[in-house]
Amino acid sequence: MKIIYTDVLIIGGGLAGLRLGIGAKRRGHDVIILSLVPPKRSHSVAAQGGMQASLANVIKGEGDNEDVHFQDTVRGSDWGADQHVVRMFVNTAPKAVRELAAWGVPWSRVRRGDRDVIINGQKVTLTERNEAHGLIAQRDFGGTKKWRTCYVSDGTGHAMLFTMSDQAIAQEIPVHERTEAIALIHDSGRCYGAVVRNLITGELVAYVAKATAIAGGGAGRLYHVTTNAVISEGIPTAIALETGIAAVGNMEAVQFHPTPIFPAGILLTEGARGDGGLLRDVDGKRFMPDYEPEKKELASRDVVSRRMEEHIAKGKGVKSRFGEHLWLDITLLGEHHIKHNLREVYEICQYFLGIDPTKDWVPVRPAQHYTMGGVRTNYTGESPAKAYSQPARRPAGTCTALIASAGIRWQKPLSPA
Amino acid sequence: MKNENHTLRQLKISVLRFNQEPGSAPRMQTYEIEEADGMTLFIALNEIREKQDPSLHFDFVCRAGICGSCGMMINGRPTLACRTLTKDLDSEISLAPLPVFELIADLSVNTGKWMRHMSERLETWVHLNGDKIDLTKPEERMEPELAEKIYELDRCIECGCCIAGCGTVRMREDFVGAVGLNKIARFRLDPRDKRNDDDFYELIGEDNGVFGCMSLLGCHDVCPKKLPLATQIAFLRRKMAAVGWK
Amino acid sequence: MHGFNRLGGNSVAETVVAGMIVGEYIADFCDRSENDIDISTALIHEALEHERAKLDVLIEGNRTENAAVLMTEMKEIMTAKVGIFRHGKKLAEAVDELQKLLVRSRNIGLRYKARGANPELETAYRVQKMLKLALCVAYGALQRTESRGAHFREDFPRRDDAEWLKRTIATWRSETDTLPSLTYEQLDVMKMELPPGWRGYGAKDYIDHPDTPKRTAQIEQVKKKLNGADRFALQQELLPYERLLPERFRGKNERIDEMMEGER
Repeated sequence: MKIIYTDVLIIGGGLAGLRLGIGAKRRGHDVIILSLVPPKRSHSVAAQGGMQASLANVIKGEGDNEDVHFQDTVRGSDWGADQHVVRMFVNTAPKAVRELAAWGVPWSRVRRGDRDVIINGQKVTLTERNEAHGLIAQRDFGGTKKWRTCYVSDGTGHAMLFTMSDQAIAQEIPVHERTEAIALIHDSGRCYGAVVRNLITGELVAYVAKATAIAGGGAGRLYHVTTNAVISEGIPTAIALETGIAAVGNMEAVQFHPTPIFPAGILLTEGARGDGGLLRDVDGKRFMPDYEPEKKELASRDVVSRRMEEHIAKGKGVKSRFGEHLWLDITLLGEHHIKHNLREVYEICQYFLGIDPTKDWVPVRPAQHYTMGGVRTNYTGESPAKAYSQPARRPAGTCTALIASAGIRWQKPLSPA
Repeated sequence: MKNENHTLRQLKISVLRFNQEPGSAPRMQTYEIEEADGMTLFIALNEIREKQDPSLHFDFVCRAGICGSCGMMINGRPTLACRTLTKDLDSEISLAPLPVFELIADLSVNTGKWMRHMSERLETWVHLNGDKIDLTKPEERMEPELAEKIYELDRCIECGCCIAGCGTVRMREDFVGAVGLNKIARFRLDPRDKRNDDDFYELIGEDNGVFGCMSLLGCHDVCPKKLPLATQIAFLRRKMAAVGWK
Repeated sequence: MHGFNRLGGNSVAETVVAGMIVGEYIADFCDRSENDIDISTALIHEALEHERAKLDVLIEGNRTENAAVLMTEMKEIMTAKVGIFRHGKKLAEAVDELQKLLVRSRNIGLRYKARGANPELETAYRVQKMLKLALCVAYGALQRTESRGAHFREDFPRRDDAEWLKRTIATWRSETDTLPSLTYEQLDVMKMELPPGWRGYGAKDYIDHPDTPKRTAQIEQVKKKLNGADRFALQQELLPYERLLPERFRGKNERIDEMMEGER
């Protein structure tokens, strides 16, 4: 029987697991990270849009701060969020961006002076402040009032993940690649580690640790089409569930996105519609105005997704070998605009569909995008197991919280009965 | 203007298979599959595994050309399979695993192990030299152009295609390859990394480093991210030679 | 933290922030000697053998269900019936069908029987676990008779704070169960800094929680009382949270328009 001992066992080697490992290692504890794939290939790499932090460096972010970020997030959650945790988050986000900047992430920076941007299909001239020159830039994203999303050109996820992974290597944190935790080891309410399968040799090894953390990402692959990587199957969350003790929260909260390409599910940037793209059905008809006369293609993501599915259910989908879909038409935006402002869209169409979106329509269909639910924890990330059969078990004085599935939960031993 | 239907072909995909089980030997196995509009090798290989042969090994993760998992030899050329469209290939397609890397099985190789080793060896992280960071204070400034230049080199996804296409690494097992040299170029450009050229010379100023490159530049030809490997390697060689002559 | 919908850009931010915060707490936990572990090798052996036996059944049990087929059927049910727009009838069907798949998944046999690297074996043990998650999603959605954020019920299109301002908590009590056990945790409006209201987009039609007007009035009082105080003082009064952060991450963030002179 093979046993590997460590202080902190982390299941998942994406941004969350890596940062958690760095934190624990710096405090003098041994860490082992388990990952299905080399960490630099984790799904975190797909986070292209950017990361929200209220730095308020750009002119369209002027006046932004933690309070505004807090309000946007709580509203966005439709009041499902734990507000204490949101406060913790919005206060720490700027620190997170700045820490990553010091560690080497090449965040795009503000250039003083005038520049032209497109807002709602119109050209607008923005003037960036002198005192902001060289600070980290923010872009418009997710419809927030203030521009708050920090980014690295068109590859934020990649840049962040590589810097984080390299820092973990600098800390000499071992990552056991191509290993999979298939069950947690637990007894009397305490988690002791995991039974881990080596995907290359098939060997089963017991990893025993003082604390075990689950940072395995979401579960997009529960669905037929998802923007998520193939490894986003939710297995770490599932093995926590299978202890019979830990719980998962709000699993029914699943976010869909209206325009991933079909059938691959690769995300097409929101800007394609924002800049004036249209949705068409099997007859070539632009159908959104019939459903949403006011906002048409620019109604909220959920609404656009719904209308598209409704329309397909009516028999207006385009049939193909892989199922039904609709069309996104951006030909009207013109070649120059597409190749300069929608470069990602152009490349995705070129590589994955072999089509030229300046001339052809793009097959799209709404797909699963984000799993809001995950293992239930308190504000420290601990799983308060047995909280239902014995409510008094919740540690005194803590506010219970839910950290979304892209983050972390970790198994804590409960005080014995 | 609508997409036109392409003529549907019957594809013959031949895969170099070997699962290293005792008694087995490498062999070519051919699968037949009906082509579909927009079919990529990601779609094709998954369909083959699901419907015809559950024992076929391959690695896809993001399937969107950004994670670097699916590097393989496609008709003799290393590239990313997930974004290779079958319509751009002949109906007879030959697939093999990337050479140089340790084989796991069939089309799956252990690039992760090789890359981690390279990262440790070349210390591919920003060396802060103990500088403390105050996270409540605004970030250190950087010129926008410099940030863009660093990103340009940071874009490497460690897919291993450059190594598979490299002549030198076939002769020198410990050659760091274009991926390693590009990393050094990236960190060298970054003012947050406190290392200087003498430090970098310690890492790559030898025949398994920048002086081993024979300038065949297969790396530049096959890089899926179109990194400027030719210019970066040449530039780095000059800089390192200057250190060597001191 | 994202509740029932997450903002673009917040997901990747949350991964790093969670790593930072939990990293400190997990280190605190490991620092305390009472958390050292004392575990018998017999227990570890039992855990290993339990999992080995399950894998053996998959590889050698000569059972009849096909893992890839079950995986595809699960995904199709989720996509068709637990998608963007949900309805009690479809959700109930989904729950029923997923339960049947779960039972079938206990009878999977492999075509490829290698013990080492084996993608089919991976699919097999994963689909057994994914079906449980799928049931948590479908059953949770069925029970939640309201719409909130990304969860939309055609048969219950309004947000209902009076009944549903709570978190769905699911556990899987026994390996032989075919449904999760659900309980609910109430959110406390009186502790909110921002009481429930209209998001600013979507339907402006929702049922208020009885505490909402109370808390809203309370907040107005506090604002009046603290008239003139800076935003930090107000925030502190409404929702003190700083002590929840690890010490190294407390502290106000400076920005161009908000430099902290000598303040921490």
